[in-house]
Amino acid sequence: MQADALLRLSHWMERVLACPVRVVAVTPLKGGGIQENWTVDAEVNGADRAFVLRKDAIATIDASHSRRNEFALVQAAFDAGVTVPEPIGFCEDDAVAGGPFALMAKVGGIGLGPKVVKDLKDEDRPELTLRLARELARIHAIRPPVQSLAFLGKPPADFALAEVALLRDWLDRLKLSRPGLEWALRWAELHIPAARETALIHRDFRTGNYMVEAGRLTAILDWEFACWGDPLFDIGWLMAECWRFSRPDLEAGGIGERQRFYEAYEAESGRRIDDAAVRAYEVLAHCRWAVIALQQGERHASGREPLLDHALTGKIAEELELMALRMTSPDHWRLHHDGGFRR
Amino acid sequence: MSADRPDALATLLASVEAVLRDKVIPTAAGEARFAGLMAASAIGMAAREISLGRTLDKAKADVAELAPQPSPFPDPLIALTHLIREGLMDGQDELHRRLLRLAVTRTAVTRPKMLTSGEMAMAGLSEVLP
Repeated sequence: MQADALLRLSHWMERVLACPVRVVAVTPLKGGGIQENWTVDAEVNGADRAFVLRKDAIATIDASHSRRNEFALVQAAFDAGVTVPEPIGFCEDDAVAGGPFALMAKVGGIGLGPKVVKDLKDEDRPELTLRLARELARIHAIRPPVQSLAFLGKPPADFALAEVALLRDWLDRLKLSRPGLEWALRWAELHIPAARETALIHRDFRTGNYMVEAGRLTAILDWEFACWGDPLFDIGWLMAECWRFSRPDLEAGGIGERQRFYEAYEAESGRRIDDAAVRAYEVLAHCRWAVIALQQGERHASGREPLLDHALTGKIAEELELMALRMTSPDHWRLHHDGGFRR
Repeated sequence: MSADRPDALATLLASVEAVLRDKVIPTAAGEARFAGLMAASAIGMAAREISLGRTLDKAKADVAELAPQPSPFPDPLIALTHLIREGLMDGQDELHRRLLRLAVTRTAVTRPKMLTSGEMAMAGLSEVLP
């Protein structure tokens, strides 16, 4: 970035932070895809600090929020005591950095799911499990309506049914006939109980979307799919076998024990977890991830984005469908905790 | 080669995968290593898809066989999809058995390591895949 651009960014940050700022360097963040994420190194009031500047990607995933909305979500989470990168400000003025951007504090640690699961020391697992439960309970303490989150719209009347309908619609748009996924979706439609409450849900709360440094959680990331919904969806998503990586035995995200997570979540939230509902949401989690994987695969197959990693992501759908079918064998039908189908 | 001897093509691809894994990837680092692993993985899948072609076709046909006849949909799997959505196949043993066999066979292509020996036997894969 050229000197005048650094100066413009420095001036904007001075206004936001209300103190002297000198931006020293702006460099593309590794893994940022199409260079929409940058590291900003600056002297703030004489002290060295690092930030992340996020601009809207040229190509974003269908269901994701804009950077502006994502910033509002991170701000709401920060205000609720959730561990997120400190939100600094959102800039609407294209003259500062060539387009709207969000600026947040840079957070240390690693985020890659398989590495987090593999490298975590056993003595750090119980504490990280408790921490994840408390963080999630704090997210779920955010209840509608929230003025700054008006863009989320009204909560769905029945979250699980809306999710099943959405996934069927995505499958139809893909023009793929996947009776195995349809079987599991039908099971989810019948067996996930109606939500008892509605809260802000992260919707992608899993190992791989939070940062860990020296065994400690440093930030929860990737808020672009958050919405109003059933809090149990988030717990099912975290617990789903597909997100445990090399530790399928540790049901809470490959990190710790399910029961320990439940107890910590219940203590923080003051609400009991419906275990059967969470397990039903785990079936839906595999369906959702499978459909998203198929969408990625289609990007490759259609020739729009013929990247090998899209093709390989698409192939994950096969094992996800298998996991969903394992969980929904005929002896698992009509065994719902209230003794029958919900609908 | 591919038309007359699909098994020879599968063997060729398996050899390419072996060269990548044994000779190329160990000498690479960083992004090149990651790219090599992805390429080896994709070639391995292609080889297994060729080897399992007939088994896959059979598993798919077995599922399609359960579709209603006659049907307004040309693709029997789409017809079956609608039946499932409408709740007309809820919890049916035979459908689940065939769907599972198809999913196991597809996973044998993409990630055989996650299959149990029971699943391999159920899908008739024990002799096809080592």
